[in-house]
Amino acid sequence: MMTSFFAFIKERRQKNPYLDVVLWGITLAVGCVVGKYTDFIKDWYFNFLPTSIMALDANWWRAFAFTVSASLLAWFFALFFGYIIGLISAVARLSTGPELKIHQLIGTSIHSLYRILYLIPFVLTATITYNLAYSGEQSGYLPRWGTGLIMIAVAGIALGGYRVFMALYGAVADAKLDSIALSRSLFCGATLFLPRRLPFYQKLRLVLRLRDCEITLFSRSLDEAFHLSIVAIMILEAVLSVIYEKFFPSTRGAQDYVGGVGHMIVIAQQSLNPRQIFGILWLILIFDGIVAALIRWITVRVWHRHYQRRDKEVA
Amino acid sequence: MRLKPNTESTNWTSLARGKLVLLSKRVFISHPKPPLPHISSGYQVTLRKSTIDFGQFHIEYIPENDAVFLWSPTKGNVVHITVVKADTGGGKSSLLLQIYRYLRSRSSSPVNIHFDPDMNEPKNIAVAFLAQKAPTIAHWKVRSLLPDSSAFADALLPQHPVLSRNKMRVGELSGGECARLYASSALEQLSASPTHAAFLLLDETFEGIGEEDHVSQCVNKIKALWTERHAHKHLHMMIVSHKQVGERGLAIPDSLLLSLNVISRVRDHEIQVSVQNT
Repeated sequence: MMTSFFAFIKERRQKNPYLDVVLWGITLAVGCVVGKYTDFIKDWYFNFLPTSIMALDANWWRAFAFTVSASLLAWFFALFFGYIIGLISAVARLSTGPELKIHQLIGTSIHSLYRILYLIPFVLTATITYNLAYSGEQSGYLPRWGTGLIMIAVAGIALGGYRVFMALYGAVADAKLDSIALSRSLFCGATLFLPRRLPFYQKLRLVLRLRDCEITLFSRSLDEAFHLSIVAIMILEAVLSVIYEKFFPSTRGAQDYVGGVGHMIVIAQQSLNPRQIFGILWLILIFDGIVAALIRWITVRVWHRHYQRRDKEVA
Repeated sequence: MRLKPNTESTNWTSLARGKLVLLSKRVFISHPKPPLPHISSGYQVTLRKSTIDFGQFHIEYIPENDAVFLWSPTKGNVVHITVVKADTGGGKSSLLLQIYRYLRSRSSSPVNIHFDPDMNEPKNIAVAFLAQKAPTIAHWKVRSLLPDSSAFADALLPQHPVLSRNKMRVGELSGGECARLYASSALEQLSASPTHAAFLLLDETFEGIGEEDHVSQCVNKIKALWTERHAHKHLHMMIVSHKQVGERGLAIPDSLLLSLNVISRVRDHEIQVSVQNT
């Protein structure tokens, strides 16, 4: 029985390398609980467990609500702008013929600029954008909430949006010849949302078909965009704690939680409260996991179930 | 000047004769690359009928034009079929790919194709190419790949009538059905394109399934439907096949056959030929 148990564990380890981490974690946990000589570690160790969520007070949960809302909004911005910019540059990239070289150049330039925006440390991007938006706000060109909205949009577009953009642009720029030939060769009928009258109809259709050829890449980019949106929002909150005050001016300077989770973590670091920090990290991870699973479920429902059917039948 | 297989006069004669022998045996032998002889345009070598299973064909060597294949819409035929036949590893797909690239862009390529003057502009021809391993995009709706009524799909997918077909996704079709759906879709696209001529390159699209003469059946159906629909618009089909060619194998009338030796020599850039169905 023990032999089969170890064989089972060995097989699972080969299939899932993360199992090693879990096994080591269990070993450590058992050691900490059972051992009599590790009391000094035990209290410290319990700070890392998901139970640390219980240490979060009401302010943490309020800050979490701000962060969740902003992350979802940033993700929508990432999807929308990443997709639109990706479509434009991919269509431009598809242009052929000497007279249309300028279109190709536009496509390549958009890609280069977006890549630079992605590679620049986000703190820098956020600071520069905030300065510009704030001067616009001071000059009266921008409403107060406009600055906050721009910052959330930048957080979405700069990191998550690039992944969506690359899923589209990369599907065209790095397309396999078989995919290009197939997409070009098949019949293009008009659809409700894509009428033939569109000047870029053929190219747009070709881009969408090439995207479909790499649909796994595209659907993966959607949940990656969400992960990166959370990261960007938390960086934004840590650097610029006044973001949400732009939407709710009455809360200015009232409470720390208006700065969001990122701001609260910075404050908690100063007061050395690791239990709360790990509690909020566990909370963010759980939230991230739930939304990512939801996104994956939707992409499976929309695209991948048609691929899985045949495999299941074979199995 | 016409060359008979037994004549021996110049280096080129010997080369041509060797090629004929190789063609008849269908054995690929890697020749040391001799310098290409300079001969005048229009020099033709007649292949023996026993070598090529369907009719007589001419291989024309045009060194100054660097020419390879010539599809010539002549003799009133609307559909012209070229069958590229070779064993595995013979370079069929590579040749087809090179031809596709050339047809798409007319850029520099080891393969050059001579067109009639009115087809000399890329915008005047439509090209469709279905690779051997064309990706199966399972979530595509079948109705997005075909017009409301498609005679080609009716002929190539008789087991799926329009009503049931339009509700299906590509993932619900088998591999062979998917290939035939793609072929139907490509034919509809070529048919709808406002060009003088259309090229359909099929890399073993109809093979691997069904009975031995499945390819012939599909091609003949396509031919009949195209001729019925278009009186003047020419369809040039180039089909790669590894099936047996002959009485018990492919039976595509009026088709032109390129065999292993020609393909390999084209691939190696050893010789450029232009082939014309006579």
